Amino acid sequence: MRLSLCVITVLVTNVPTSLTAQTIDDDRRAVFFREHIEPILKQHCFECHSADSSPVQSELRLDYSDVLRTGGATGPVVEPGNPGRSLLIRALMHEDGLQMPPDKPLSTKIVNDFKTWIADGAVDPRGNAPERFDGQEHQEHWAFQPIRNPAPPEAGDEEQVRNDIDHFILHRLKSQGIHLSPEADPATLVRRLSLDLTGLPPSPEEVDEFLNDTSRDAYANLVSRLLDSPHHGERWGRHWLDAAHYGDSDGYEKDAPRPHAWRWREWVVNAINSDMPFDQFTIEQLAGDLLPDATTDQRIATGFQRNTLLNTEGGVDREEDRVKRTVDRTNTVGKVWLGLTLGCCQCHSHKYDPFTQGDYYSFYAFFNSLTEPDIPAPTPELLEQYAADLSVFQLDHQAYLTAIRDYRSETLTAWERTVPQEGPFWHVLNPEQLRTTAGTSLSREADRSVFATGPNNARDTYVVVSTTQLTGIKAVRLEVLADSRLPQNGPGLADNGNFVLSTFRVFVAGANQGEGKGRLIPLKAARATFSQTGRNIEAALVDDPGDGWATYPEQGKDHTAVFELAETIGDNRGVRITIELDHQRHPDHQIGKFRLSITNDTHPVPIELHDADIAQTVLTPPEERTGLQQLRLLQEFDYTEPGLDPLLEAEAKHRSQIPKSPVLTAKAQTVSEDSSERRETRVHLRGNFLNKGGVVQCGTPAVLPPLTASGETADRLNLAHWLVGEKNPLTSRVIVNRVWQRYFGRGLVATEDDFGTQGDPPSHPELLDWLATWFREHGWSMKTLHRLIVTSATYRQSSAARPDLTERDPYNVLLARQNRLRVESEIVRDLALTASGLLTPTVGGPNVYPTQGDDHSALGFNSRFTWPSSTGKDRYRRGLYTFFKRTTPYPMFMTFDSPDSNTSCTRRDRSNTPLQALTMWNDPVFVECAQALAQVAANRAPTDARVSYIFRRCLGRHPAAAEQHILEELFHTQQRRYTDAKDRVFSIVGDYTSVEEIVSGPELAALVDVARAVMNLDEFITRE
Amino acid sequence: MNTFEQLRRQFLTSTSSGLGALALGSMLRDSGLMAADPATANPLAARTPHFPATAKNCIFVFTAGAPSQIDLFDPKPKLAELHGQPIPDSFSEGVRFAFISATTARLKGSPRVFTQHGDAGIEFSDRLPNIATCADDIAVIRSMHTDEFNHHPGQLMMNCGLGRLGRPSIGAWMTYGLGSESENLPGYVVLSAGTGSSGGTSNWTNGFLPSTYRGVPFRTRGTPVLNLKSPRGVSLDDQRRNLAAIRNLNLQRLAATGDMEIANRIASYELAFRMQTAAPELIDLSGETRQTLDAYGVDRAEPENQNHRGYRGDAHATFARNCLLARRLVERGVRYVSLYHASWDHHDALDKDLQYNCSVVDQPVAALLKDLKERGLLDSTLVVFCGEFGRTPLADTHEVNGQKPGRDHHPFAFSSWMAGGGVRGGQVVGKTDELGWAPVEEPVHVNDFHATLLHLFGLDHLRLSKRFGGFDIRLTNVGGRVVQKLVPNPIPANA
Repeated sequence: MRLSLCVITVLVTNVPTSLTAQTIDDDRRAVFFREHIEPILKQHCFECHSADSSPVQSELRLDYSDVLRTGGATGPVVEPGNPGRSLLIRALMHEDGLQMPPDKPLSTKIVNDFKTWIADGAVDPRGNAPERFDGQEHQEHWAFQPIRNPAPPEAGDEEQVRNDIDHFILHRLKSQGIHLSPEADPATLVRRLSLDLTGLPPSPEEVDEFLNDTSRDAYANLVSRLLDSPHHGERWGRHWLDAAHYGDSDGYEKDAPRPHAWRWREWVVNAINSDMPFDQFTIEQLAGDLLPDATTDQRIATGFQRNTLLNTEGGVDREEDRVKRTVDRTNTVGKVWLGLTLGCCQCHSHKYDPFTQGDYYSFYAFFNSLTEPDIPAPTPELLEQYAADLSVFQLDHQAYLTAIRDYRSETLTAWERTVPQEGPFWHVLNPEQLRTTAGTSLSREADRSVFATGPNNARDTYVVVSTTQLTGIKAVRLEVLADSRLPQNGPGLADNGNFVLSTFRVFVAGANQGEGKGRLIPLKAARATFSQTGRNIEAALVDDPGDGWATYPEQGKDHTAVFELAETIGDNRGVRITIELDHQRHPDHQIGKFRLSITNDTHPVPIELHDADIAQTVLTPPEERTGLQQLRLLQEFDYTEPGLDPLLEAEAKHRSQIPKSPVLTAKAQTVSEDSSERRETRVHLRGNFLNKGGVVQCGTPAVLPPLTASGETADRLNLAHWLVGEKNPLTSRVIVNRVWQRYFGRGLVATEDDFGTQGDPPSHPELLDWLATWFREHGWSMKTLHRLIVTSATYRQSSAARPDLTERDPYNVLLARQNRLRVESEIVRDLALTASGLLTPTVGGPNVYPTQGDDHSALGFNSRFTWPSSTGKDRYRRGLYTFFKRTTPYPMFMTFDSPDSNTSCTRRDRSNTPLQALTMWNDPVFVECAQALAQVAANRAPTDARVSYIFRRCLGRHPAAAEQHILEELFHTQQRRYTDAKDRVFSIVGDYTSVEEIVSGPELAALVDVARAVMNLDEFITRE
Repeated sequence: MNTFEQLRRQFLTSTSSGLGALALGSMLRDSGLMAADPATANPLAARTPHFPATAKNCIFVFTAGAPSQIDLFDPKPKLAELHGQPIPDSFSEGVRFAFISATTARLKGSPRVFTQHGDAGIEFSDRLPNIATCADDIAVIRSMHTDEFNHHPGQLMMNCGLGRLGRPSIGAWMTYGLGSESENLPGYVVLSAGTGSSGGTSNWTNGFLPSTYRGVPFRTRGTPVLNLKSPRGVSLDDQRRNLAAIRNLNLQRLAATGDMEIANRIASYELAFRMQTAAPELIDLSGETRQTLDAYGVDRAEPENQNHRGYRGDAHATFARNCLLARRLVERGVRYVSLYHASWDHHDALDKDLQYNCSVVDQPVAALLKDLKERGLLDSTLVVFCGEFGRTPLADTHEVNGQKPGRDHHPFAFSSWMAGGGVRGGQVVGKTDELGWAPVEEPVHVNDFHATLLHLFGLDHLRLSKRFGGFDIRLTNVGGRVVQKLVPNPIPANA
């Protein structure tokens, strides 16, 4: 009974069926409990007194009504009607030495509420606690039992059996006295197989070929041809993308594009086409990075785990967002491989299934130390092209370099004579000690600049200590320096190359004056060569963490700031200068590279003084100069010599056209283990990541067979092996069930994402186990499994409704026929493109951007994103390759129930709406297909066969007489009407110069009408 | 001969007569081939609520970005007194902010002038002079609070009841529960003005419900629904002939396969065709009087661009037009209309930008309330006005660089209002402390707000649920309590 009810909800397009009028009759006392008592229990008591407490203190639980009534080690704590004699009240009042909560008594008002509640009968509407999960009943749940290998039963009618699947189906049907439906007609079969295995319809020629093939192996050969087609990987790859919730952008407010996401999609398509065994498919995606000598491909496979959303909205808590991604990974793996709703345990132990919150966070721990590197993943083709492009470039570039070298050799010596040899100068400080307060690591470079590396995720203060004997110091110079190692070439560490220096501080102490920073020297003024709008240099003078100096959008360039001291400092016996660079505005906007200098010049200090070391170099004979001196000298010469500028500019301009190495540009999103430190995993009480409970280790749910760890603790590789291990009762069942669902519209377990106790039991448990065993024993080969299912008589049946079964099996659970299934959104598109001959069948490669309404992407926040509409052949690629922007997906896909890609989807809706009708009917993409189809018909079919040719290109079969009649009538009526309205013809047919000698305008326009009608039929987008 | 055979024969003889889908439905039902629930044939058919409702239609004005309640609805004289002082520790302990730092934050009083309006004397700031004139129809809730303090999660919380993706939006729940009374238009329509919101389409998603219940965004330029226009050169008459051919061919297939989904497909095409004529009629404002157009401000010119946050050239006119369209949609039986206006995220330059935004929304929203009332529609149309959270009583921006101050995100207390649809107007629900930091009386969580909204439509928020991923999921997640003061038919307290 339960089974059929559940099926009803699935098939009745999910409309509520039980909204009958009934007045609300809440018990006042129950409401009192909900509003005044339950929140207090949750907030103050559950940590020690609920199912999630370990251990439960005093054996007293307060989380359900029955356990509250029973009480704990000291007996009942509530005596209904008598607050004075209730232990709970005495504890709340901190009397009798029993004090709860232990830290601080609750307010008198709350205690009075409890008294009122008990006096009023202590009504507790919460219901009884679910059984603990150590009970036999849950352990015996079918899905947690080892997979059996039952022998196929007697079919009864052996003649109908094509393979072992049919034994199970026929046996069951026979027991009910039901016979199998006849085999579908051959034209339906060839279209069914083509759509199921490749997602593309057969051409009329392919249909004919099959119809005319009288050999015994005709069907098997067709299956082989389709399984070998590269389009098979596209078709079944899309199902896997749904499960992984693949998308091409980050999601949330910013929803930035992910230019490398498609590399994982490519990996999936290739893996399926090469029939990678499912166990290997699993291991590489979950732990490819942990395999010995992992290949680039195996690392790309881990991109499965990069389909999580990323929130880069300003002010987001990064740890919270990381936790959300980890939770997503945990839930996705639980759903995709185990068919379990582990997500429930994020906040509490599972209400129905034998999983505790501890189980959940043990599973979560496998994913808790991930990092998310985008690794270089150049393809061989790209590398080869790059090598060729680079040698061409280098040959050209030599000319620019030669011109500069010649100029330098002619003028450098003369220029050196113009360098002032007496002060004032800037004296670069030697950074003798470098410290930070929040984990950035600073290192000294050869030219005394300082380079920053590290996590860049906390507001940091850099501390630089130097000593100097210079006297009369009046100003400090800060150079922030560009460097190719920094994001956008720096000078900041933020993703956009920026930084915000919130405060600049100078301290001075005598050189021998112990430790400590010494005295803070007030700053008088500051100037900078460039400041970002609204982030002026003056902001760094004051201790205001909310503002500071920044240089966006001038990233990738050096900038200089000078801070003038309010007093002169220095001592010829030496002083120790401590400089603090404070970054308090954002957690990720530290400076990436900088250099500090001082000067004793008079006020106001010009920014562009020469450096003391340049003067020193000029005084040194060229042959005695060090390499560093030579380099600094050239830097200075290049900077100050105007005659060199055009040459340098020309060289820089040409250099900017250097071919980009695919090592830098062709990346793939992967995960890998943070080798430095494994994060400790704690239970998040009630799902709140700030509310930490006990520590847990990596592990799998206790009710399932144990996992073997290879090292001290288990890792993702162990988890992956465990999922596809001999003893795992779930993975194989879940996978074969999902494959089955694709072919019949419904799994043997209808709740394909819930194999727990609340899910539906399998309709054919023996068949499910037999298939699961068979799949494993056949080396987890997906293609072998596909072949088995589609060659069964069960699959090959007609899908026509069975009037004899409308009452007995209205939802076709017993499979006495096939089901008609509307194809998925991408396939709707692919069908129209194929029928019209427009399809570009190229397999693989980056995303494309087919035509869409120009208003559409402006609906999201990031309205700067414009849809770069593809041109030429890329307009007609399969739906799989369309860029998927999570906040504003391609509208046609959403209209046809594409999942939104935000969470794992293992079964799509099949809705049926007027918006779908409008899309198929009027969307310019589909209209263009209808026009093209009319032309194809005009070109390839004789006049009297054009209507039926259109029909066959769309539906595979020949039209029945009545159908032919309806279409002919439409054709002739419309042709007559267009003859009288020739002005409309050109609009209707589009560009038809290629066929104007074959058909008249009105005739072609009428054919477009016919094409539009056929392409809008239910049958066109249905796998029969 | 069994019923199926009879049906097949009937079809074969009647295909050229253009049998209507409705007649078809009843034939199939009579034949026992179709499920007993009539909703299967039309998932948007109007349905009876759980208990008698006061509201039939909803117009939900969503001010995305979070408007400052302290400068609009919740006057705080004490805050103005303490302007410029640090925040008391007791308030900031354990609190996270998006941008500001608790150690340096300073209280910021509102420079706005609040006056009392209507018989009830509800206070509104001088930024909303028009809405204030409707005070006696409005119930202001000053004690709203939410769980989320970033925009996208906050908008999801307010639109879908939980700050995560994947849940259906209010309009989806409502059309799922009640269907729609419009035969020629979708049941749930979305209209946007100005820049996009953080949440984008996820704010009107169907979540795990069938896509029939997704909000249909009407466009502000061109045709109001995507693909509503017949292809170039195709007349409505051609389209009708095409429709007839599609219908007749689909009927052939229905007779051959007996699959009811084909009947749904036929019905979808019939509605699509009706929408092709009904939607252009909807947006054709030529039948509206000059007085009405001016009341809404449909032709209002945009002020000079003063670099406002979210300025987009035509927000004044577009938002006004959307408000008028909302009334026309409701008149035509559309169940749920969402009006979006984004860019209320005033971290800085609050005074200037709030003036701009209020100037966009104040006049049209007030005109909408009055227009609905005059036409007798306000009693059955619930109008809601809210954002995803509030703004801090603290200043966000620092003035060192001449930036003007604003306020940060504040989930702990904010204001919203409702009017019409049976709501008890002319009252203020809830109260915040003297700084406006947190509710001190009658706190209304977003889940409570939703429970109340559904109650007005005769829906019990505990029973309007759908099983998904192992849970019976509802709009109010695991919370929700009807705010009794707001509804005309409170739940009996001690039945």
